Amino acid sequence: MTGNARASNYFDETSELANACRVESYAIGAEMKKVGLPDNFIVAAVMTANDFEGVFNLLKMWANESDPAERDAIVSDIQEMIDDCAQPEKVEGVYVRFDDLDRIASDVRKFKDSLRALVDERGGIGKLAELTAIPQPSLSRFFNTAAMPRRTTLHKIARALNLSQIQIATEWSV
Amino acid sequence: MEIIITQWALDSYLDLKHANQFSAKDYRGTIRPDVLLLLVFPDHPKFASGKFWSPATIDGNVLSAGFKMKWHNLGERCVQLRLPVGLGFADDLAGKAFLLHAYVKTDPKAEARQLEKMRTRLQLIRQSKFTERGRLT
Repeated sequence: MTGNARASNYFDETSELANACRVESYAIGAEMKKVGLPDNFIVAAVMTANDFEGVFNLLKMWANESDPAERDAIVSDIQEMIDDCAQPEKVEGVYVRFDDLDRIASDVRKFKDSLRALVDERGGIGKLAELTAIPQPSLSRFFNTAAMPRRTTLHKIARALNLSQIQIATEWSV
Repeated sequence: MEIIITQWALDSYLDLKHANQFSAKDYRGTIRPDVLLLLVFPDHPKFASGKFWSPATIDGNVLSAGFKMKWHNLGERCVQLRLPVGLGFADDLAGKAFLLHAYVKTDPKAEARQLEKMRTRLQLIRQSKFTERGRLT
């Protein structure tokens, strides 16, 4: 870890506060296990919360929330943050012109719709969630938005459903 | 000030536009001109208006380097559009404004989630772990 990264951690790793937050994260992880969230997701969420205060706060929001729909939204946000925080370094992406955005959004939607059809043929979103260890609410958000798909997510889906590279090929993955 | 378009900003634009939360006319006529004001930040009267620009706060605490650009009753759907902006970083990030994920403000719970995502992404920018999609000029 660089000095800059360490300096931006939200608490001193050795402090009592840090340990209290970790213990609270583990307790929330245990609650997540009880409601059937995937182990891989829980571990990633707790580990990410150790370094990112925003993710820790999302975990606390989940623990304090009683509305199932809101809990699902929080789970999707946590997964999004896990993916963001896993990026190891800065990436210079290709510049996208404004005039191309509508076409890109349309292409992304077509791609996701065709992938969703394959998923439905193979047991649906629930089955895919089991096979990928990606929470169902996160997969639903993935398939319902026009955001560019992450390669890591596409590869998990491909592995789970035994899809070929061509079936998950899109110009707009990131 | 340089205006950096992040992947988060691009993705949220694609999604909001696709969901018809605003139109191309709204973007060209209102959103883009307002965002371009960041080039001369803070030398425009709009930055003194709390209705348009404010520090991001969570439970009354200011989020370091976190700001929100706000549009009220935007477009035909009269949406409350928010654009989190990371600005005021030190060292090699100084002089840069980072466009984060835009969203439509709905209820307080959703707003609280968006702010925690903003907090996380500001930390990622400080750690130089993000994807840049170009500059707005």
